[in-house]
Amino acid sequence: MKSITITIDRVGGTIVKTEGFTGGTCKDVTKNLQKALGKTSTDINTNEMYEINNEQNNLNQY
Amino acid sequence: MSHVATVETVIMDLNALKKAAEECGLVMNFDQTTFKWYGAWVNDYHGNDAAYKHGIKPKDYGKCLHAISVPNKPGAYEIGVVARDDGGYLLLWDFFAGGYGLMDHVGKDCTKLLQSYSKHVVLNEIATNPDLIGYTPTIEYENENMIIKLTSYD
Repeated sequence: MKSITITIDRVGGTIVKTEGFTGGTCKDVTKNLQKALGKTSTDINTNEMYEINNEQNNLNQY
Repeated sequence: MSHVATVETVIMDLNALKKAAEECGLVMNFDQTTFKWYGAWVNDYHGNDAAYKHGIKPKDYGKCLHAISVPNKPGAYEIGVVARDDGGYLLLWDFFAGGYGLMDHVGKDCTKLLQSYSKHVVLNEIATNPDLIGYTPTIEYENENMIIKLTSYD
């Protein structure tokens, strides 16, 4: 399951969080959404990304 | 890969703003170039969201490109929609005396209107953005936050 959670606070700040994506697709999926909502000020990759990347790195060693 | 992004809301979609206004029981008046407010700058508000801190000169208070009004309430103040330098829009309003009924519709800090605007932007994206085909939205509230969750089982 893939999910995108958009939390809009009381003064118009928005947090966009993705979960369940593999590879580099999550930023592609939310790129236009974030642009439509406003100006992105920070964009941080989550641990999930690093876990997946590490798995991929490990696999690549074999 | 997953990520977390913070986004400062910038009004860019006037159609979504119109829908948000209507959802708040208001009317969007395109090309109305003045909006009702106290009528004179008395140098009495200096919060971070004060209009003059966002590039609007006090002499221009009350001027706008479009306005949002409370229907059937001629004494109510209005919201002015003015241009930002980046092509988006700012919302200006006077909360003195609750805007004589305006703030009842939009909430403190215009929260209801801004959240409704963002919701309509998201719904429009779901309808038009090919990357979001197959996602189902659910909306809930937690404290004063609106939470829109898009889920795909593909």
